[in-house]
Amino acid sequence: MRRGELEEILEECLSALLEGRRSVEESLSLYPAWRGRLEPLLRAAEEIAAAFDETPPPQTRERGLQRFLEAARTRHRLREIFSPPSVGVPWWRWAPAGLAAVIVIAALAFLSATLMAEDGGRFSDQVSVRPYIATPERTAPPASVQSPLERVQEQVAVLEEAVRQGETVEVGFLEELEEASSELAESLEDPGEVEFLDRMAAVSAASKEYKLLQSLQVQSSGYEARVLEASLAAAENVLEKLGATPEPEPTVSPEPTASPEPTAAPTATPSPPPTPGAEATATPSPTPVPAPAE
Amino acid sequence: MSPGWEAGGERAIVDAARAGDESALAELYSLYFPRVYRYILARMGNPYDAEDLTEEVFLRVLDAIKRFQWREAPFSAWLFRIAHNAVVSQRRKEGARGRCWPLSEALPVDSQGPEEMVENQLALNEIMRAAETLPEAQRRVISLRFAAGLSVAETARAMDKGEGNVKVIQHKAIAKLREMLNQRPRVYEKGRA
Repeated sequence: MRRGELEEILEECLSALLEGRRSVEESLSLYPAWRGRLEPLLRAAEEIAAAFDETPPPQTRERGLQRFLEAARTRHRLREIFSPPSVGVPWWRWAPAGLAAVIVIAALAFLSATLMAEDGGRFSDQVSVRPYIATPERTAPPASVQSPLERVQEQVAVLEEAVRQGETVEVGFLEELEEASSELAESLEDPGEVEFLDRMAAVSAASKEYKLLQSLQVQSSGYEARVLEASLAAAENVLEKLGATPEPEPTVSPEPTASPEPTAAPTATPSPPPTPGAEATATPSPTPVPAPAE
Repeated sequence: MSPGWEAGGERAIVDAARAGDESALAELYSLYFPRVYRYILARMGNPYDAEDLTEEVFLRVLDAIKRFQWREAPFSAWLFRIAHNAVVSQRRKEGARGRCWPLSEALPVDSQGPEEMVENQLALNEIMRAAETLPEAQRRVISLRFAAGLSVAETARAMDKGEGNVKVIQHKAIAKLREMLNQRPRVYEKGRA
């Protein structure tokens, strides 16, 4: 007996049996030499086939068919709705176009980002948004929201207090005061446009500023003296634009035997003004007499 | 079995069904529904499960038929792979619920008389109980050959095995079933001497 021969013969007889071409008896008669081994197998196969020979209920079949076709229609409708006409186009047909579109979009995005960065650098003063830095110790509103007059008024008040207390006035403060006064003078280019009360307040602030600065000028020297001089000029400019004349610092009569005593140079000394040096009759310079504005 | 229409007509029907032709789909359903039903009944042993799973198999076919390619396998082999996967899925669910093969209470086949129905039920139950003890490959070969009516070649393709291997498995499965059926007390005689 060749290996696998029984399996071959069994399969041949089984196929004939299941397809209804031959009965078990007919198959056994075809293979008489195998009858002893084939018969029990074919009988068992006959029994198994009979057990599995079940017909599905017709109503089940019909119901299933209706559901199957309905599902097919639903899928077809969904495919029509969600698939564009190009759905049948193979991917290698649209892939290059898709890739090109992605590249173009990426390039545009890159260019836009680059241009925006460049613009941001070039016009940063105008267009950039500066981050807000909280300065909790600062109680006064920021300078940008104050008018020049308000800034001058505020700084003059600070200066007055410092002079009264005999505190040192920093050069930086004097520079800020000069800047504020200059801005105030610029804002008074057309004094006729300025409200009366504002004019009065400006005259008052500038006069006070002028007097205080004059009192400091006596003791100053070097860079501080130059800054004071510039601040005085700015205050004077304000008064000039408002048609007011700054009052000169009253002269102090020198003591005949007085010898110059050194005073701390950078400090502002409160009134009474300190004893001037050898030039006892010298008046603080400059003492411009501006022409009336009107 | 593989009837004559399968050789030439099946390809045309399947191709039309893949294109969405409703009548072709209906024809495919009619041709394969009894075989799928019997296969699932043989694997599950319960007509109610068989009905539900058969419907599910055809819905899966609907979803997958566009991906079917002739060069890979005959349509029947492809279809019964889907059926097998559905059975395995269902078994897994039932396994999680601790359910074993239920034996059906009745087989609602209109064409049979009450006595024949009972006899068939008992025969099926006997075979199912015997088949329960077979290895999975043998159970699958028996179901595909006897219930689904696939040829050895189609069974081999459906199981990704060689035809010789399928024949050997088939021989062993029949011999084992015969042995077990002979050991059990016969509760009925089919009347086929």
